[in-house]
Amino acid sequence: MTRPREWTADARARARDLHWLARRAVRGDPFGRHPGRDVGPGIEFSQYRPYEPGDDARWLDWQRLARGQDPLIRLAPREARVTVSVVLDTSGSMAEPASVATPDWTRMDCARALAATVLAIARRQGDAFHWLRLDAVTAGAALSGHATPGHSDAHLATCVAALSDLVPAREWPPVHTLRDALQRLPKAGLVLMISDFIADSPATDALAGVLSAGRRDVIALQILTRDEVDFGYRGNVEFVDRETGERRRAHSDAARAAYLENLARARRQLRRAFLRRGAAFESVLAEQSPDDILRPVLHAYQRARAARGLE
Amino acid sequence: MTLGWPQALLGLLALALPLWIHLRRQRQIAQHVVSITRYVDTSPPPRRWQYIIEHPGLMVLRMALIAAVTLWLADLRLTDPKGGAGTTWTLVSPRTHAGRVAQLANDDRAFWLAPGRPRLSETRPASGPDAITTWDALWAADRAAPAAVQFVVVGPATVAEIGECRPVLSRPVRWIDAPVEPGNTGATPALRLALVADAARDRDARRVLAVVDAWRDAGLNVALTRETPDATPTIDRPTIWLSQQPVPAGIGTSDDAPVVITDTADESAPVFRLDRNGQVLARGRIAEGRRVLGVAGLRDDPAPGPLFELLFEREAWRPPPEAPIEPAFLAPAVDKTAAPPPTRSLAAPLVWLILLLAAAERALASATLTVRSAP
Repeated sequence: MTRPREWTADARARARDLHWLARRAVRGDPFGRHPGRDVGPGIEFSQYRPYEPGDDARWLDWQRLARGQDPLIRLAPREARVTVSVVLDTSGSMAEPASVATPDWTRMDCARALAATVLAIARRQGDAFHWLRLDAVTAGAALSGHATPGHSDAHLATCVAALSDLVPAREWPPVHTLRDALQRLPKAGLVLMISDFIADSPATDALAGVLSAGRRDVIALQILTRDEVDFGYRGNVEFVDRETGERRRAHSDAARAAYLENLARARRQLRRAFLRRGAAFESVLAEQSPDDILRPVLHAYQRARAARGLE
Repeated sequence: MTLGWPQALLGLLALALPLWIHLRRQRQIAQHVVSITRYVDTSPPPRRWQYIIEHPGLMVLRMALIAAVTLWLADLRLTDPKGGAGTTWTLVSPRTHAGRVAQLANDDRAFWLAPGRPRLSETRPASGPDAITTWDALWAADRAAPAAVQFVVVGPATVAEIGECRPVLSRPVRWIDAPVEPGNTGATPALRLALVADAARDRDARRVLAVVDAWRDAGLNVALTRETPDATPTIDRPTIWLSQQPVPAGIGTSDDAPVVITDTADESAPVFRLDRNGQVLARGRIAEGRRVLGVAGLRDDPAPGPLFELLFEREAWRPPPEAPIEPAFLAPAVDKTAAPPPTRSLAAPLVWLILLLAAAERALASATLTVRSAP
């Protein structure tokens, strides 16, 4: 199996204890690990229903029957399988190096490793999984093998191999193209959106809306580099936009405060856009390893599940 | 080297180098391909010519490094104006009587007034015409002693004790008169010569002057006066007659009269006969007047040579006895700025400081350059 070079055996081993369960009851195939909306006979008591001819006698409440009460069937919540979708921003900005110390490690490398890790988690949970790329060029293209949900190890191999061939394209897709591309997502399930979300506010707002539509559980991961967070530039700097080629000159000392304020404002708007739609949003550093990124994010997600009484 | 020297000033000028480098880099525009252009505010515009120091810490470190190297090259030294306070050095002339020296033997801060300032318990240094004079030794001790050390000099208060030039020391000197050690007068027998030469014999006269210089280099105290044969005064000293005119009557004609050394063939005049090696053979005529008279001929050992006897042993030509003088006269003049106090070199600490600063500069520069090389 061809793997992204950043998805090392060590990284896979460290992510082996991670799991991602839906925050709300879902309707899906049985025999999964997510809380299902359907109930049926089971050990973990949920509710009773009157006995009907043909019911399995094992699920009768024999104690009630022994006391001479009506025969009742014990019902338990039925766990379900869902589809885990990973949506990867593959616009040109994803080619940004994660840090100066690691010029060969780009934001795209981090995203690939994250995607591969989440797909492996989904495979381990028995869920269906697939991933989609999101950029101006491929948004409307035909679906590849990795874009179709599957359950098997072979499908995992296909998805991971396709990840390793991923090259950032030129620009962030326009809103209408973005909507078309995300129509391919299942109506329900878990969605992990990986991007830098460096785009206009309407575009990111539309993205949050489309992703969170239906009954999807969405986690949006914003990957930023160290220089983007700290504005680690010195002296007079000419910034050349990686996607548009736009040039802006500024002095680092004069521009730093305004930049940090603009970035913080954009992140606040982005967070609000996702939280308003019930999605989780986290900003992480590209230089972090996949399990370092996913562990706190998924733990926070599980705490939200517990608050909903799903544990 | 002091900081007032051109080299030091150039070193100080080098401090401007880091300043120039950092200001120059400040004016450069680094290009970065990024994704966050939309968040960069272009107002105010980039500052091209404002003098804002980039990486001030690194620049200060570099300036400190250059300053340390400059101070190291300038041989920076520490002075201690209070050094040696309450301490007195007793400096004893090598001509001092042994009994007086014995009285000072227990003083652990008593030294011989001689090169190297040996302790009084060590062997008495040589004294005499070849030895360094008391004042010279005193001057050297003044240079070596801490600033607050007091000097007490014990020695004969005689003219022979002093040199030609009265020194100026940085501290007062208390002079204690002491008797002279017998047989160690230190006086140099003076050889006083007169040279009579006419213009035709000027070349030979210059040879004689060269001979006298050779004697002086050998340590002899020679005084030479030059006379002209036309107005020959009463010559009261050995005379070298280099003239075609006859030796005047009354000169060199008796044992008590001055000796005349000439190369004329006048048999009536007493002369010295020298062989080719400069050896004095006997009274007579100088056969080779153009040869340089060897100094060895004047310093026969153990017995003085004939020429030495003739020239030095006559009572009339012996130097006058040493005249005692007031010890206060021997005390050198005092000028606190005349001799800087001894200093302690800071070369070793500066080398360590330079190494430390260089390592810190490299570490900081590497970190800074790594940050700057962001794509």
